[in-house]
Amino acid sequence: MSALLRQIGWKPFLALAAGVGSFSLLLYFYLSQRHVEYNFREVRGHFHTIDRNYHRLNYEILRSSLFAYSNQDEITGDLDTLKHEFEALRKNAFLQRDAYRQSYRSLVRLGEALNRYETMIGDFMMLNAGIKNSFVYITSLSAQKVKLFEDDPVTYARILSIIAEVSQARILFDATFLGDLNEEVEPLGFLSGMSKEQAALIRSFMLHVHYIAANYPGFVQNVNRIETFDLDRRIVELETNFLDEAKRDYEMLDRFVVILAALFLTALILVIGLLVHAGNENRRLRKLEGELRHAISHDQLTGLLSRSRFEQLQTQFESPYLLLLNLDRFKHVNDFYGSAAGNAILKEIGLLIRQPVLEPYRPHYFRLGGDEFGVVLQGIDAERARQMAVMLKKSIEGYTFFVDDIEVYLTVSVAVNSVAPLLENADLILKYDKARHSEGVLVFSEELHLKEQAARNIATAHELKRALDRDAIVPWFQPIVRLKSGEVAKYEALVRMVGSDGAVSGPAAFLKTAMQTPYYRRITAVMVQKVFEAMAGYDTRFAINLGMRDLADEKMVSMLLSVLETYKERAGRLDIELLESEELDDLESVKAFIKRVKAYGCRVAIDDFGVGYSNFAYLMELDIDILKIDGSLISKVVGDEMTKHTVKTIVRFAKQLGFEIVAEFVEDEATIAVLETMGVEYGQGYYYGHPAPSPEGVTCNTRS
Amino acid sequence: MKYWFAAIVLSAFSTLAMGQEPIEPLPRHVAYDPAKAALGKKLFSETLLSSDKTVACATCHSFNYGGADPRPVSIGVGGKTGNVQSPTVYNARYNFKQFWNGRAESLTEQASGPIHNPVEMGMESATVTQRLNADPAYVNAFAAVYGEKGVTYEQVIDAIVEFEKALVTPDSPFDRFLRGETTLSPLEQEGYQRFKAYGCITCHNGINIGGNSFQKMGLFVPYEHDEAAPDLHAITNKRSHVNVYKVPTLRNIALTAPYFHDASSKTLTDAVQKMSYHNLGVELSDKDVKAIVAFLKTLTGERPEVLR
Repeated sequence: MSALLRQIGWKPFLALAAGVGSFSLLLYFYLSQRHVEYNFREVRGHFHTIDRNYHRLNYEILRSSLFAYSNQDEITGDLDTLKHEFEALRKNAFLQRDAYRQSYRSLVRLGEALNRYETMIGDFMMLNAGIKNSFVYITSLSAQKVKLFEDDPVTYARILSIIAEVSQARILFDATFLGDLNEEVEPLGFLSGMSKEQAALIRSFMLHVHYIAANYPGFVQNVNRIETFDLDRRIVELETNFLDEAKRDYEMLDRFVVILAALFLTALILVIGLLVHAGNENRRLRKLEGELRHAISHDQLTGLLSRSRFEQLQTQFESPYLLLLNLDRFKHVNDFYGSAAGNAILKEIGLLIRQPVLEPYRPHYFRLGGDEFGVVLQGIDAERARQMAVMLKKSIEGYTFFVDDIEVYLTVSVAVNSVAPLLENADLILKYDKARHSEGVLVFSEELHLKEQAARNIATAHELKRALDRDAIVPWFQPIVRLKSGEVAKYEALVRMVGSDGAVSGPAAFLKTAMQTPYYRRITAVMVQKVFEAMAGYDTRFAINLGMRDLADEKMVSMLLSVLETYKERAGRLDIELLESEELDDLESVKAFIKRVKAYGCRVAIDDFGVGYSNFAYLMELDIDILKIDGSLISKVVGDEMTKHTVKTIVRFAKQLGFEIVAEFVEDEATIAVLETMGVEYGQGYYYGHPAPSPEGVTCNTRS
Repeated sequence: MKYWFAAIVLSAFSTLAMGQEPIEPLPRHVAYDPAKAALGKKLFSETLLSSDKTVACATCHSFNYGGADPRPVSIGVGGKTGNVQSPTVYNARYNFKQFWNGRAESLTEQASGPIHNPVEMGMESATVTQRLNADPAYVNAFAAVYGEKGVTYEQVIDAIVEFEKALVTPDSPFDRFLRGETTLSPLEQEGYQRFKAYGCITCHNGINIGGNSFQKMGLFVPYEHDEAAPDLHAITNKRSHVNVYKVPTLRNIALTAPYFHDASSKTLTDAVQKMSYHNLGVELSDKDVKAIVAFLKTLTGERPEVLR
């Protein structure tokens, strides 16, 4: 996972975060803008209603002052709307924001003006009623009743003259035309000599004339004041201020939106760019992996399936029979005619074993080792399988190989096995077979193998126990060297068992058996302990080997960690080389282990890469530092183009993932030269030094 | 020559010619929420809303007396009397303000007034909800209408207001006349003509035939002022607002005796005479009064739908 993260990097995430962030802000501002726009419309709506109602109201007032009959509901209704709209504006949260301070001040002034206006209208309504009534009264009077005074020309003329004066003032809407009405009407007050009807008329007439004289100037003034009132100006002022402020508000938001949109687009382009880049990178890696996979799963020389492919496939076979072919004394052919001839022969065998008669049994053809070929047949019975083995043996032995016109004949041993583990058991038979010098085809049988194996196991287990008791399990050390300078970069500790006779045996002799016993843990513990002890006095790094399967063993892990805890200050110089095992089903525990030892400063290597499991997927998932390329590949890197190609691919791949690369089995300068051109930095092998009981004992070959 | 002069004067007043009719008929149907109004109707007659449980809204706004109180002044809790005649609750939604001096801008504002007035119902909002919440029938009824558990004071007022909005009295003979559905008798016709000619129409106009302005009682001939009367002066404290009241509606006027804020007229005839003397400056002939009264009687509408 961390490898994957390393690959993708943090940039796309940063760009993504910037994108999401700016998009959210953009959305926020967009919504704010919508909000501003919505409120803007709403507020302007109120302005328009106020303005419209104000003008209608003025019209209604004029109308009401002119027409005798008018419906005042219009006036009260408009005034009501006006006040209502003003209230709505006053309560509008939008206008109460700081950005609209100027508008709010105008609004307050409008409110004050509105109050004055309302008062004026109230006064108008009250005055208007009386004024109109008086005028109406005088109108009806003139029409009908003035005739009562036809016999009194002086009074008659006086009444008509007053009516004329009043009506002129009314028509011109000017109180100055009233002159001194009160004085003019006074002489009419002498009611003596008048009829009762005449007296009543005069009383009412005088009442109304007095009323007009007293109130008309005020009324005219009131109407003039209403008509010239500056509410209009207040509305315009408010609207102007509001438009100014809203524009500023809107422009600010606009600018924000533009900036954010630019930011968002930039982030978007960056994300796309990085994704495209990551995609290309991925494709490149996948291609590389594909090449590598093919290189690993196929034998470069014969084109047959490789041993690692066999390991993968063997779980998928259906009741398989393995025919394991081993060329007898092939080493001699190689030594005698040269490896080029040997390779040519191996290639030909690769073709020879592909017999058409095997087709019905869904055959798979493998090159399992240097001179070992395997044919897996499925859906075949034991007898038939044996026959096929004989057939193969005959066809190879009957074939004439030519090396520079010299005839070469080969013999071959064939083991037939259907008992798991397929290869191991078949191998056993071959060894058994050869040991007895019985050439030919031999079919595996259970008893054949188990008895002997069991005895061997018991003997080995006894030997192990004794060795542990005698403290005869010891680390030997082999240097790992920096190719360029030849200086020792670290020592790999290799387990050795010292026999009671002083003979030293390597892990091949006992480790497989040990794994089945509790001694395995003890061996590991002894090794780790001793390696740490050996580390005192050196400042180079040391490496130990562990099987990946061991890491699922909790007791083993806790033992290891407690030793690391004890030697905390040396733990930072320890490399842990993990050996791939066939059944790696607990990758999580490996990951967890790596994480824990890294906390102590340990580094982690994958050992023997290039044979066996060699799965690149998990390699990417593990947080490892070092990749050790298997010796079988390194030993052939000079001279064998296919192997060279394979190693090159592995190195490229490993470098891509940032691993340090160590080559095993470095045995001559030619190999070093090739490895250096590929960019391999570290080497290990007999050229630099054989394993020795102590680091000092190592003979070191340094280049000057 | 004299007639010629008179003719000029007459023609000069042609600017005072009448526009459209200044009175509007009531709509036959008004929009309101029937469920809320039904609840409001119940509350309107609910004595639980008064402190001593003797008085309801309906006590002073009798549906049989034109939505007003036939008594000169209403009697509230503990037998306390007010200082003003109860105005009609009918068509109140069309008044520009509520109460005689317009101190409430809306019906919602108005409805709380009498409930809290110590002389009228003398209640605290909390007591109102406490009492109604103690009555399962009310709790259920409110829950059915407002969908919440527990009666709130706002809901009580809302229901009463909704009911009041429904108290509209359509289809008076005069409304039907305005719509051209019927004719008025010659006397009623004459009355309407006088009503306009003498200037009553100046204040009594609009859909509610009044209720849309403040005017002074005693515009031409001063009217006796009672210091305790709740006039506009009591609110604005302006000299010019002494004896100023909201012009009352004339709808259903035949049913809402006694008249004026001080209940000083017991008959329509007396009210018309008093009004024309003090506020129009004319002493009407008996013939005119008779005609105007005949016209006023055409303003009686149908009982509101919600009460039927």
